[in-house]
Amino acid sequence: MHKFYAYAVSTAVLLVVGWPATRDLRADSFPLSTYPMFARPKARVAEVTSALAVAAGGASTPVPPSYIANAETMQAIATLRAAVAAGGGASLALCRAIASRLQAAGVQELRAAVRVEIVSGRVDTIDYLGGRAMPHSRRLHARCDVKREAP
Amino acid sequence: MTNTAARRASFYAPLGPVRLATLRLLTGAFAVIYFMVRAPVMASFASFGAAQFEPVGLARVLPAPLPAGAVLSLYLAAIGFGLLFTLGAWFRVTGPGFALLALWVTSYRNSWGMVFHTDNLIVVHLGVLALSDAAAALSLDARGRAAPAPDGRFGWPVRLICAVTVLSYVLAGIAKLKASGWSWMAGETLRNYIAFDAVRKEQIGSVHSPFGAWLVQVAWPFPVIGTLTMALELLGPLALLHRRAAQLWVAGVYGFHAGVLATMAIAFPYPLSGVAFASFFACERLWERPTLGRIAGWLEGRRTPVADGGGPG
Repeated sequence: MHKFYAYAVSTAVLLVVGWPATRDLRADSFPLSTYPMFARPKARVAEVTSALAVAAGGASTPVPPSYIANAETMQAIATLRAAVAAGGGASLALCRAIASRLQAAGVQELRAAVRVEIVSGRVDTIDYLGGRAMPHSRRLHARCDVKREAP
Repeated sequence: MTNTAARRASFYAPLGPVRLATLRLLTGAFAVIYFMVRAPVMASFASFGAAQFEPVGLARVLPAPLPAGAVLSLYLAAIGFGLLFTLGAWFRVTGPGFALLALWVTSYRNSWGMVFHTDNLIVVHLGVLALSDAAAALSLDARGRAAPAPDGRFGWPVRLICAVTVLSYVLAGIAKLKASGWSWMAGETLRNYIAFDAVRKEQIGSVHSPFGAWLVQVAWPFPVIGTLTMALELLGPLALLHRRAAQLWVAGVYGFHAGVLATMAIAFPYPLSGVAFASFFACERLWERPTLGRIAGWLEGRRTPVADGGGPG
């Protein structure tokens, strides 16, 4: 009897876990996954989105993940990507949320920010890492002020 | 093949109860520690907007995010059940209970627009353990009782865990074939992903791999890395046929994850801890170490070191 149970459970588990192989890669989910990470063709020129903390003088610094979503880098990237894909309203809402969190920032560069910008740019990723290229075709998705209390 | 050899090779071949129990202890302990480390992440979802909620897994039953108090309660229940699961206490209840709660916690964590692929395997492993006699030894349930003799009921879950581990990598290989074909092995796609990953992380002020940024400046290693990656994924089932093949495959896959960490700063904690691959080895030999042997002795309610009932792996 236990042998039948073992084979029944094992067959069911293997079929269920293997089932995503029959589906489109976009059907990726959890806990059953098509494991599409790094599977699709990828060009070396890509669009990169970021949130920038901009100081009064115009100098900017990237806003770290914990101010965008949480400590997980990929969650922050997904949050930025989703907001940009959802349009101007969603980008502005995220921009304001980031600006609000920056009010309590401990890092000097972030504390000095007077506004937040959510931007995208295209870049040859390999050349950029080799110091031979910079992002171009910059697009501004949202801009908002960091409200500071009067001293 | 002799009758004995054929029996040892069968999926339901007898195995002592200690290897399965060791897997319960290792996997349960890993999951509890992993969840505890993830506590700030679980808490962070309270500040996320409802529009960002894209439920997957068990969270699909929810029309909207749960109140923070409910998230915390279920998270704490998972930790509590996880401890009982690990110790093998009331396992008939806590085994399935923890497997479900672990699925819940990981489902909720993956329901915010980003499906991580770090949690899938451990959830399946916990499910298999929960459906087996994983608390027949080295557990509070079995404390003071004589260890059962080797039996097929202790062997099939270990082999199933090996099989689903291999299957998850085969799926990743199939995904590459479906999306890019055999040309994925040429390495250009992988090289571009490593470069893209480093750039996007740098652009949001996060940790990225300087090694990966350096490596992508050189083209020649990538056909080698791409071919090895695809081979490890698609040839994984060979690891189920022979012990030496299993050792080679695990070493290769572990190296693959170490490479992902080194080039992309992406950690897959479960495989990198080694626990995900413990089922491929005689992991019960851990208890031969004096300190661990004392823990095993306490769980079994005796002072002498634990000994398995034997049986083939």
